[in-house]
Amino acid sequence: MNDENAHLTELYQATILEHNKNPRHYGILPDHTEVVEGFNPLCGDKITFYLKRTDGKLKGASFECAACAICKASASILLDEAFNKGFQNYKATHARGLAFLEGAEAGVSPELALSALGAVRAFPARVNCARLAWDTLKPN
Amino acid sequence: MEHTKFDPNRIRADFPILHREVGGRPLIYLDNAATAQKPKEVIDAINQYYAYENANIHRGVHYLSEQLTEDYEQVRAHVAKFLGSEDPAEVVFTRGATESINLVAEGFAKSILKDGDEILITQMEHHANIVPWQMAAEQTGAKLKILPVLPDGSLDMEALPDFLTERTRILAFVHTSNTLGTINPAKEMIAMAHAKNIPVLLDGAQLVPHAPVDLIDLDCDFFVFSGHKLFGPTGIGVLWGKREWLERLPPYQGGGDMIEVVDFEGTTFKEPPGKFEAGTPHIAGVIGLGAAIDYLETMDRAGALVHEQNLLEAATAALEAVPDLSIFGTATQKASVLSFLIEGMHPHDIGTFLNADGIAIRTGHHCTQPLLKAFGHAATARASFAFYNTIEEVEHLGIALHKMRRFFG
Ligand SMILES: Cc1ncc(COP(=O)(O)O)c(C=O)c1O
Repeated sequence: MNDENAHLTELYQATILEHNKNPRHYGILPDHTEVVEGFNPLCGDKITFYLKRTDGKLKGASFECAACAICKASASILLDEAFNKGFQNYKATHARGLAFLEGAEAGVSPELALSALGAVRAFPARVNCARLAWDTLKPN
Repeated sequence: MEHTKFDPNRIRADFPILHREVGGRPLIYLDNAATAQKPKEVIDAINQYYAYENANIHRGVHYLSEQLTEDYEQVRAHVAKFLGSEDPAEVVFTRGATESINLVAEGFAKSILKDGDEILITQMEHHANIVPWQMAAEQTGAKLKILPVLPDGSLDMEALPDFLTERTRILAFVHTSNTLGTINPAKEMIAMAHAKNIPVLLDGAQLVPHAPVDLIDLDCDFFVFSGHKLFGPTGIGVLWGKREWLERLPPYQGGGDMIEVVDFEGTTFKEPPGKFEAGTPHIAGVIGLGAAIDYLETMDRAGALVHEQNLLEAATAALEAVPDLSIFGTATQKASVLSFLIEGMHPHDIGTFLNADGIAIRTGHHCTQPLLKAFGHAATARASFAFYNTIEEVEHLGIALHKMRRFFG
């Protein structure tokens, strides 16, 4: 990539472009027990999470969306993190991501896919795109 | 492409903002349907007013107030002429197209609409020409009827006669769609409505920036537009109404300036347009709007329109060359407004990418959610051109879109 696109490569980091192209946990979870929908009326981004709970505990999740690359990638990244932790303590996963997006937390380990969303914070018009997954899939 | 002597580069010199940069790139402003840029004539007129001419109007015997009242009323007369009409009393100043439509819809709700009546609009209306009528319908029990749009983005004219019934109390529709660019056959539609004694409100917000208007020829009963899309200031707009209609509608807001005599036993209102202009108006806006119209009248508008159609043609060709791109709105009669979608790419990402190249376009639903929903879209990208845009800018847009395709792979 030539540097005239430096600004853009910052926002659309390889991780985001990759998650956008190959979103994880995408599609309708066959045995879901719950559906949660999020909508950004400003831009029309729409996201649907399919959740599976047993005994009130989150056991599985998937999503579908009609949304921009930032929104899609961030939902994929959020779910991926939740899966990696076996849905243990989703509350903490959610809170850390949100604090990072809101700028309350300066950084996260660069090994985490989440770190790729950091640049969004410099694009006020786009922060809400990244936040939609967090605002929709809140811990109960 | 039709040849024209019209030279956008000479015109550009009049628009200071067109010479600024965005993120180190020359600004390429292709969001003219949202709001148009202002020539220095408009900016100077507003400065001049605040610096040397400020007073209140219609209520002073001193020099400044008298002068300014005259200037203000001269703009009214000028707007009437600009619209091809004669009578300044038919021009009401409002905050914009939105307020103009609200004024008429509220007036209809208060004095005309009854339970079971019908209000006819179209599927391609801006929210400004939907929501006020929904509110009027809710208040009165009237029904909102929607004339459908065909797949190419033109109105279903064959269905129109059936939609104009003996219960239809008004037809309100957009002359030029801000999303599709479609130019509707307004004159024909107005004549069809009038044949059944149905009055017509025409939303001219996207017409006035592109082409001269002749309201006597169009024969609509109400016509609305916003100053800011006409290279003038924000916060000022026009409701033009046939005198008999303005006389018939009740006042919109109450207050100073719109009355003849105020008495606790009862108040009498001014004749139109005064009865619709309560309170101190947006004087600077009116002065600025007058300057915008003055400016347009120094221009070769016929040449400008040919140039805009050339921009549309060039942009359509440039976009059609981008893989997986489809144009939303392909009616034969179009203004220089181009909505598009790219398979697998969200309009938001398109907008952000183009922004990095200094190109300003609009992305989203363009305040026409029902139209997009009917076509199964949540959002589109939209490039809209004014006479100060150039073929080189169109070429930049094409190049940037190809670059974007490579970027997102
Ligand atoms: C066709 C149309 N009608 C009405 C409006 C409303 O204009 P305003 O927001 O200036 O009142 C717009 C502006 O976007 C428009 O494009």
